[in-house]
Amino acid sequence: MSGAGIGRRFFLKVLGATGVAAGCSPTHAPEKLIPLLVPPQDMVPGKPLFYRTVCRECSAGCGVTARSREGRIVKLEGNPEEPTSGGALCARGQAALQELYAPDRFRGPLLRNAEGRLSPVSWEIALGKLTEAVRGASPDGVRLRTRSEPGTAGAIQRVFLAALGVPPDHREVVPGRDEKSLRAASTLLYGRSELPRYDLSLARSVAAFGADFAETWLSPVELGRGFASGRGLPESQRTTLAWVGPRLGTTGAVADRWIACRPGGEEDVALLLLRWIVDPANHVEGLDPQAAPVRTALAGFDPRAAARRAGIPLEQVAQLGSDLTSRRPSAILGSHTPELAALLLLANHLLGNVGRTVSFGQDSLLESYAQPAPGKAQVLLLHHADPSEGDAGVPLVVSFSSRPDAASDRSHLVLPDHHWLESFGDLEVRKGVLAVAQPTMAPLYETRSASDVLLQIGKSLGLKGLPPGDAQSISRKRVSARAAELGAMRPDGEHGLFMRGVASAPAAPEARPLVGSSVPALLSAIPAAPREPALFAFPTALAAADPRAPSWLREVPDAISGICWSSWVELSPRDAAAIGARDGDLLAVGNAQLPLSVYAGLRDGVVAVPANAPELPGLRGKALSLRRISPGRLPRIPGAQDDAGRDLLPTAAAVAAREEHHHGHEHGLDKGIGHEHPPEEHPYGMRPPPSHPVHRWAMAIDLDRCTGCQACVVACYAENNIPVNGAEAAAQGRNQAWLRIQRSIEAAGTDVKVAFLPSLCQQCDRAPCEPVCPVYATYHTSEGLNAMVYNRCIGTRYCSNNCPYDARVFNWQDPVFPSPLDLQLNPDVTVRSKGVMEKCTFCVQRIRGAENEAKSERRNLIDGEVVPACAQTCAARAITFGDLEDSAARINRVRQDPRGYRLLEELATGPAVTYLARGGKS
Amino acid sequence: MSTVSAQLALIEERVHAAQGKGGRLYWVLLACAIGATGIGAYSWSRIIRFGMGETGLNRPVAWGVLITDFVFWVGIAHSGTLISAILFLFRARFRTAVYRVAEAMTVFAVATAGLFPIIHLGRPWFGYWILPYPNERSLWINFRSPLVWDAFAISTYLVVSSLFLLSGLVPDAAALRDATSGWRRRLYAMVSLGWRGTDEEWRHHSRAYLFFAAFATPLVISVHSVVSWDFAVSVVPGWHSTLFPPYFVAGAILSGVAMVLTLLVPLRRALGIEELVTRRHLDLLSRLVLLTSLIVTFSYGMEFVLALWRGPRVELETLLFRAFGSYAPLFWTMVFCNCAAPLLLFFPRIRNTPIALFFLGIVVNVGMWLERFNIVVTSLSHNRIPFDWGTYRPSLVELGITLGSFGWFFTWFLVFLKLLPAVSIAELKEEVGHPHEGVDATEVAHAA
Amino acid sequence: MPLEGGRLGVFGDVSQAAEAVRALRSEGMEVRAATPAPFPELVAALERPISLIGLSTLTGAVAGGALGLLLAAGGSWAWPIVVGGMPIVSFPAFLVIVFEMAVLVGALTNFVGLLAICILGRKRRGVPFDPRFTRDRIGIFVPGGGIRAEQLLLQRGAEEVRDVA
Repeated sequence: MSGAGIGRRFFLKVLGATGVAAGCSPTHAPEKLIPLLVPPQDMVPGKPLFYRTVCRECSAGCGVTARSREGRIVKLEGNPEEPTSGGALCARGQAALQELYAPDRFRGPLLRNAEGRLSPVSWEIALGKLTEAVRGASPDGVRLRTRSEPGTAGAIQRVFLAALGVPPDHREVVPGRDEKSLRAASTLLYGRSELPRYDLSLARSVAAFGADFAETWLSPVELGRGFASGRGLPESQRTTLAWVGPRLGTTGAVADRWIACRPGGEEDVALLLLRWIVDPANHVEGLDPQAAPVRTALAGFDPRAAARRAGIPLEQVAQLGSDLTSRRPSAILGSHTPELAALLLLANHLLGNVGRTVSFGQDSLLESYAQPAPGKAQVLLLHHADPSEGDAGVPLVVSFSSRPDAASDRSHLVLPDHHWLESFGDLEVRKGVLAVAQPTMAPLYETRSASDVLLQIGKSLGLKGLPPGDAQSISRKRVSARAAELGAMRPDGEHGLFMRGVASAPAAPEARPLVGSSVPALLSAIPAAPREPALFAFPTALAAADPRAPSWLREVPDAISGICWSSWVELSPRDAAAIGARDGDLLAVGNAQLPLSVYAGLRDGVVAVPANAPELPGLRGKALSLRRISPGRLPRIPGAQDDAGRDLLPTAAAVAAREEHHHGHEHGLDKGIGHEHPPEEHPYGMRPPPSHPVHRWAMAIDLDRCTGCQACVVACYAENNIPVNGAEAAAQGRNQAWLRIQRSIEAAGTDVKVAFLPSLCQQCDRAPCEPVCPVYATYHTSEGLNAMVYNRCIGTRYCSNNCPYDARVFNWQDPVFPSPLDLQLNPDVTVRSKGVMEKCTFCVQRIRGAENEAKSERRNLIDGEVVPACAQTCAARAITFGDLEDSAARINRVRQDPRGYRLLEELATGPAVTYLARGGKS
Repeated sequence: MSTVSAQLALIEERVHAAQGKGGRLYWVLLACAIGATGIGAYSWSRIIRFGMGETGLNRPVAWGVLITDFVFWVGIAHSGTLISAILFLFRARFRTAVYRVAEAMTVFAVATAGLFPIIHLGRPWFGYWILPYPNERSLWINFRSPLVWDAFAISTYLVVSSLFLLSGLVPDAAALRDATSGWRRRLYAMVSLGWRGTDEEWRHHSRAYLFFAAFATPLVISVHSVVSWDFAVSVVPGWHSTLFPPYFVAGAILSGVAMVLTLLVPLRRALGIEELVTRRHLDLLSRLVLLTSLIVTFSYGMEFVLALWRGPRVELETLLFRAFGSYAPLFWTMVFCNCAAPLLLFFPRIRNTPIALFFLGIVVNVGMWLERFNIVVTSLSHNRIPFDWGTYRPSLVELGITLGSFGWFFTWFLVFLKLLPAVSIAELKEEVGHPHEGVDATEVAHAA
Repeated sequence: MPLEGGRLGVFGDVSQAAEAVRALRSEGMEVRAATPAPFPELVAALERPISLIGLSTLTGAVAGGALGLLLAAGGSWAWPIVVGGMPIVSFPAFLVIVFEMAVLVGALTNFVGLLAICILGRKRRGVPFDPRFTRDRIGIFVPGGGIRAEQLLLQRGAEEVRDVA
């Protein structure tokens, strides 16, 4: 994708739309359809405005471009000018919009009443309550637990606490999920608590020890993009991936090699890998001089025992080692425990990856993760952080949650913070990269920025040393100052800073000498006893299991299991058979009841539960008994596990062989599933393809790049107003997604292959769905789209039956968008009513928008100017979209890829979607 | 007084008397039928109100019981036309006694079938969009769509079979008009269209009737062919087959004749017209059942043969799924009902036992309903992309509508029995004029 | 309906009635009949020409077919949308419409023609009304027939003969 095309268009719009003034005072969402007497500045009805800000859903801090229509945000996309997101956004980031419009958001402050329920109070009362409590508490009794806030919010917290006289260690920062072990590892090996930065785009081979870098690990958008940039290439240049862990998750599914160790066996595999690397017998060249002490330290190490502990055949380690040493630079990721992280960092160091794929000196190091001070709190402030067991009995727990969560459940006072889309802020994602956050719309409710609350309380208490002004002005001043300091301030000043959403002067990687003495200590610290916890909690990019997650994350099924709206337990086929349970049965697991999903990509002897399952805390640390209760109904998207031998997901080698075959022999259409000649060379069907005088829109999807992260699916939901139908509908086959990630699980013993197939309307030249419609509700447009005319549709559903790709979905009932989620609806797309058919349109509204814009500017469309929502948000850049009539368009080049094939080509439908086959061994 | 006129009078009395019979049982049945119609109407109202989600349909299986019902009722309709038109053209005299019931069944079955394309629409209130009518936006319909063919075929069929029934009724209505008084007389006067029975009228009537028969014969074949094209022109494996038109026509005749048997056996008893509709008639009809059952059995086999011979692999996989997949019990029940059970008709004793024929008729119709269900549902359930395979289970609403369709059909049928002659008076009388050929009518006379 | 006078014989037997018709016609008299059914013997005796209703039916069918073609082709041209890569006018698909329309309009003209022709014929070749003629008796009417006709009718077994004014 040419970043220039999108950047330019966005730039123009952002230029026209924002300004600091606009950024400071985004317009209120109109609630009535009346003409405005004095229209707000810059707001043209029907024209989108774009605001740049920073995603706060995880610690990665991706840049966001928020699209605003008539004062409300309707879509979140990545910020192409910001290096972390690179213009893409994951499923979770996009679903932040549903947090903003969550029906259960707190409308104002809440105070727990005598009956133990939270009831609304005014800000005066709420702030008064907190002020009194802080005044009454000793400085030692005030605690603050916060998520990592390396920007203004954190600074204000620190200043506030300091002004109160509270010691710094009373501010407890909860690190990002995977950060802690990585920092510990860095401390151990290099003597500095530093977060390494991984650049997978440089890696030629990657080994992930349970690090699901395409789903949740560290910075999934950035890592997924980097990894995918090495895919879809010829075998010799292609980045290989090895997955080490008991379960193939979405990231593991795209791996070329799976080492199915026991849960907790990763350290043993890491040790075996280290030993293999330093073993002189393996002649690994270019090893770091530190290999010698490692070799010495591992002299007494028994590989067989370690392999037994890990539960893997020893030769798998050799294969892994040869992958990682022969295809360098490589990258080895993993952080389950600090020990594992350290071992892997050491392996990276020995192989010379540090400084290339793994770099230091880029951590912004703005937060210190000190051990929380001991002692009992009198007032505990929870800033987007969870309460812990030790908090019981604190007289006043205050949370800044904007929605019901674990913190608000435990707190006495809730002072709802703005959503991050409504507030100012800044985040130095890594050294020299300052992401700038601004409100993208006026707050929906009577919420207040947590920083302002602290400042206000400080003022009421008459504290000295607080900065003047409110959080907004402080933040803006800080951002400008830091940008100037970085030398990233451009002539357009603060205005330009907010427009780009980032000030970037990335720091160069620094070399780090290994602290030699740490190695023997590390290698001796590995526990020798085999650990076999039966329970394995795996993270998921989506949140089917989490009852408090936004509905898109619950509706879009887990890519591997196809489950939505429920937590579940996974067993391997053998283990399931052992307890006489079948897929979908309800199981008693410990004291919880969970539906069973039988998964061949799970090691025998492991009970796997999604990490966000509410049942999980009750299962930890106990002996697990498994018992089948009854046949149940698993809310799972129906469908077969694999392609039933129909060859829908051939490997690149198979596609090449198929081509070879076709050139060798001529044969008719009746060979069934075997794919036919490419139409360009051999006309197929009875009639010539329809002509497309101006454009012929087409798509190519690189299956080798696709990581199955489902961000595209969520983008499609957001862009196209697709209703969320719930668990029952999903199990009935009434999930309404226009774009789905189909997955195929082929298991032959321990050889398990998982493959993803993003499936959407193929916009056929000769679409079988069209001629069967009695009322012309669907037809072939002159631009090659298979148009769907909702208001002409009478709902015979014949088109759906006759679509060989099952791309069409029907509105089985009227869609429901519980208020205020309806504010998110895209005004450019019709909300369909019950009884009509719908399907992917290639985001026709975006095509029309770009065409109109080009027309008004009296120019032709530029390749890359039209980007459907799915392609836009794909971190892996797996989706290419463009105009086949434009001979210079990228899509025309991509379609020539020898890996290209089209689904069910023998039906002569002439699909506009080309799939590029997966690489790797067939 | 001559014997001929006595015979004529007797025929008329029998038919006339038949209309008065039934008594309490009749009203109970009518109430049940109306009640069932009410259940159907309520079920449909739920679909209109809450959407198609009230059915059990889903992404791979977008057609289910409602389309099954549609094809089923169109099939039922076919035998009526077969008996009244095709057998008329072939001068098969045994049709005389039974064709009126069959023809009425046709009209009511088509009227029932015609509801389903509307009921199963996502937006039934726009059902009229499927017809070509001039409108201000000059929007037209897609004449390439099999559903438009359906609309034309079904409405033509309804019109033609109603006209056929009506024109056959005219002389009979005149006879009844002249034999009754009160509101019935007024009704018959209306239906008889002023019929006098003059040679001039008969001259044109006979000719026109012949043309109706000549139209109806290809029509009956076209209608079920068109219905089969709803499936056959698609790309769904299990539907896309050139075998379908003849296979569907044969199936339609099988189910229709079986339905005629099921209706006639109790009717001739209840109405006391055993002399008019004799065991010989039933025997001949059951031979037709046997013949079409054999054709249908052959077609089932041919589907597999074609798939095995050169067909695409998916075709065979769909058929194997039908026979051995999750809907297998329905498939084998169907094979039993449509292929095995009718073989009993090779035995003359069975053919001569009305009660056996009654039950066999029901068995065959259960089988034929299942056949349509199997074709519609199993093919969609395992379509081309295995990732989307799904199953379908009919909801109560769909079963309610199915029940309602029976209620609707029988309501009309029962009203018809009470109002109009269930046997053709004129044609039976004509038989009297054929002392050497008209075996049946003279049998009647002898019996009397 | 004004009806010319004549003699009306009522028969209870088809053969006798047919015999009477033959006798009357051999003496050159015009004979009309009213019967409960088109008894072949009687029809043969009357020797009426074959009805030409088929002409109107055929015209209707041809017109209907043409209408069907016009509708399908014209409707497609009026709304020229590409579906499934098919040509705008797809004749094979339209044949179904042509056929169904031919049958529909043909059958309708057949019925309307029958109605019209019978109403006209009733005026031209009426037979005095008697409810028995739709039931069990056969009426043989000799318009303008006099004593001779009555004689012939009675000879051939008429149950009664009426003199219609």
